[in-house]
Amino acid sequence: MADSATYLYAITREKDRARPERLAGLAGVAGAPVRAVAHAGLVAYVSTVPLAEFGEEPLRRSLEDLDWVGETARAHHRVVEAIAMDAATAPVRLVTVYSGEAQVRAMLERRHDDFVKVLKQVAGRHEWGVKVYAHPARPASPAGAQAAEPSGAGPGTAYLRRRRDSLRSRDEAWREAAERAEHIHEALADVAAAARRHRPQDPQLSGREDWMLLNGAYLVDEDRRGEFAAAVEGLREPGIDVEVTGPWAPYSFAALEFAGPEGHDGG
Amino acid sequence: MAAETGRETTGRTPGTTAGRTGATARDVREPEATTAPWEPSGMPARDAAPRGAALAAEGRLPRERVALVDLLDRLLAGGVVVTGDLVLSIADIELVRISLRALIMSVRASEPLETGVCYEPRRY
Repeated sequence: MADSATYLYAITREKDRARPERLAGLAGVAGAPVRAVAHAGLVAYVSTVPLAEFGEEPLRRSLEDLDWVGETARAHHRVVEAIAMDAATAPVRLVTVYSGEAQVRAMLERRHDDFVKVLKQVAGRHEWGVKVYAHPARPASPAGAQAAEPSGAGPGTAYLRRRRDSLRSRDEAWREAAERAEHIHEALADVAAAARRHRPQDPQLSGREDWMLLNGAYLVDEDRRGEFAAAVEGLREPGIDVEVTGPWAPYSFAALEFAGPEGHDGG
Repeated sequence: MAAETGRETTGRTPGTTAGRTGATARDVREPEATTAPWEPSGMPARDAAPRGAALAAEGRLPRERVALVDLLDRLLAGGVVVTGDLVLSIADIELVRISLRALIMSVRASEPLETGVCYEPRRY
């Protein structure tokens, strides 16, 4: 026991419990098999992981290693997806490690009502990601940048004016983009049961140099999927790119915000 | 990666990717992604695309990392956060983000010539 710990992936209601064949042969983090721990009408999906890798000190080092993080995130994701295939699922944040099953059971009991609320909220719904990009190089109003300069101004004045105009148009472009993002987010949120904005991705991570105006997540009813798709289509216009990802398990909507002011366990 | 992939994914909507979970729109065109619904094909197997090869061949960030960024948005800023009796959880997202950023910067410093992509830092 002392050399291993219990890694937690996700929670479902016991009546939605994943079929055993879903878990059979499923490799979790560190390649470990996944099992179900049922308690208090809920099921936690867990793996046994070595403390040599998932103890506090090794983890701090591992989290510096993007390959390790990527591999672990994919393994976590794989398990969550398998479970979410046929059940309302509350995914747990990456790298949530308990000392043992008893602690997981205690947590299920303590947080029972919060989980039930979250599971009810996500049932019959999927998360969709919508990323919207604008092209930074494109001025907001091309005509503005080319405004005729008053005659009589010296070259220095003209330079300063151009520079000021350029700064202003950049600011304006940014402000316009932010408003556009807000508008788009609201339009999509109207069709969703819940909506959330993630931070725009770093261009080095997204691989795109365009401005990411919006990195939104939307929890959409299954029977409104078509309506949501139509809303996304309606966003397309010149100068912006829209990228949709999903359906995702409801990662962005599994916060236990009903739990308490801090959303903490308090245990 | 931007322009090309962006254009290809522009037409994707939830309707067209129906039933495929976790696969990003970007991955839809990948052969290995045409698997059963809900199969976690969005994240390619570890050995599906060697990172260096992808970089060399495409002159851009590797595809698996691009998809990973969407996943990390969700796994580091989403999901249930529980505390108590834990060995450890990533409660301190900032710490992780900073670490990843540092790591990315180091990747960037070591590979700029291979990628041929201009990675000018940009304020967001």
